[in-house]
Amino acid sequence: MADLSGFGFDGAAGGGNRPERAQIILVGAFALAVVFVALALVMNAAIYTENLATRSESAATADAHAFHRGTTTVAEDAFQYAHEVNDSDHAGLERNVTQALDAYYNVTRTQQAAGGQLAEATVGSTTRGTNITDDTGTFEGPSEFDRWTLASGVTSTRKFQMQIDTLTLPSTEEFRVIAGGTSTWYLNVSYDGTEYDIGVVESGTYTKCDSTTLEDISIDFSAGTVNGNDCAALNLHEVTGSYVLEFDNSSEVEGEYQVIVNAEETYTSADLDDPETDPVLYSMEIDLIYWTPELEYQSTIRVAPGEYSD
Amino acid sequence: MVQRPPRDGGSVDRPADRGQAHTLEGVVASLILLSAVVFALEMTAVTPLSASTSSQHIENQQEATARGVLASASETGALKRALLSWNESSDQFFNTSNLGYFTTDSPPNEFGEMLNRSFNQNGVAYNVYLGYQNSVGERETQQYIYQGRPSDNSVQATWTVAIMKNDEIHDYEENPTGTLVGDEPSYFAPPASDSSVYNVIYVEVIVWRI
Repeated sequence: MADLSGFGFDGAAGGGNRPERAQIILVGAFALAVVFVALALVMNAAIYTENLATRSESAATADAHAFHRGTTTVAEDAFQYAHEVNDSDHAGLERNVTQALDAYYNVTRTQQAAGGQLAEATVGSTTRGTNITDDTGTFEGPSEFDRWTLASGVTSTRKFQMQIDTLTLPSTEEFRVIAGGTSTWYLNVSYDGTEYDIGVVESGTYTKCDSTTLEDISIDFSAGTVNGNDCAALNLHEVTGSYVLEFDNSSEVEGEYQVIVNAEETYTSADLDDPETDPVLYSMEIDLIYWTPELEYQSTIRVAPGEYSD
Repeated sequence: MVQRPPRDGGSVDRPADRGQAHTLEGVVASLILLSAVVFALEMTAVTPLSASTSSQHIENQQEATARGVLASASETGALKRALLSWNESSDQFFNTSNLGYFTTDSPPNEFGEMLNRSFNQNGVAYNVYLGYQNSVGERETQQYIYQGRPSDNSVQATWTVAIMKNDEIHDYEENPTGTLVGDEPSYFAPPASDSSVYNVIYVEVIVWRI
């Protein structure tokens, strides 16, 4: 090919275009080779791009989320353990959960560090509360008052459940669970001689939840259900601000109830039939940090078992 | 323009010009050859065993599956029950061989069944390691399932499980025996603190295709 004058060039007339044709073949072959290489590059670039695209960054986020969920379980277990085993005062409960989370953090940080992550989980804050229960007799207060205050300075409740077994309501009266005074919010159970009506009066507007002829009524304020049926009006969690939680006409109702309020309350009564108060933690917040070279993840885990959730 | 006289006496057939053409041809030919080699190499870039797009997709799926198995096992409590199913007399997990860990047969418990349903039928092998803190505060690893050495295409998913002080040792049917984990000195993980958290197990699942 180097001999661009062409093999067998004899100088005859009409053969003068042969050297040019050889050049065209050479250039054409070279161009074709370049095109092939370019095509291969384009194809591999596409594959490489897709390859990178499939190495999703969500993997790191998923690890952080896994750590979040694992820590949530630990926090719930530690919270439960503190109340089951170390059934003491508020300070004791706080110390118990803090020590548990410290121990968890101490072990888990070395484990996570081995994988290249920096993880931290500490108790950010705890809210003191009171567990108010009465599982025998009427719903009367410690001093046998008909209308009495369960707790004041309440902003939220959890595990608020009530099981009414016996009602001796005259048709002129109704049993009430009042939050923030009757002008704000109250639940009432009334009897018209044949049926028991359970409803909610919010800012003067009445909404019926359920009717039953049986005296067996279960009300779950935290879940928003009456006898297992959803009641949208049973929205105690939507009452804003600090309020006083009261019972009215409580002597006409028998059964059991439980409520955990985020307020400190103590009843002084030795009567077994009276409601009891126990110091508990209403809620606990865990500050969570999970760092990798590519990701900074921070979150707060709230532990408040039995609280209303959307 | 100054016209120089020909050095070789005006001969038309000049070898010096031919040499340049030969050199140019050599360069061009080498370029074509090099291009052909590059092209051939590029063609072999994607093989069934190379880290290609398809295997990356599979790895992503396996990783997500492994994480899903751990999440659901944790949610149902199956993972914790499996970790607490400890044979006090032989100092190892129930139903393991003399090696002290499970091999190709997955553990005969709910967690093992979940792993089995997710991986075993699809020609996928997996190892499960349990990381914990030993008595001097260092990290140690216990093999729970070992099916072999993972390949380069293996993926990993992890989960953290805290054993509480009031958790009970479970029997081979995963029922609580009444013995608290803190009262069982043969348990593989020693107490890591005086608090309600006994120890924290870092469950690591490695999955790869075979």
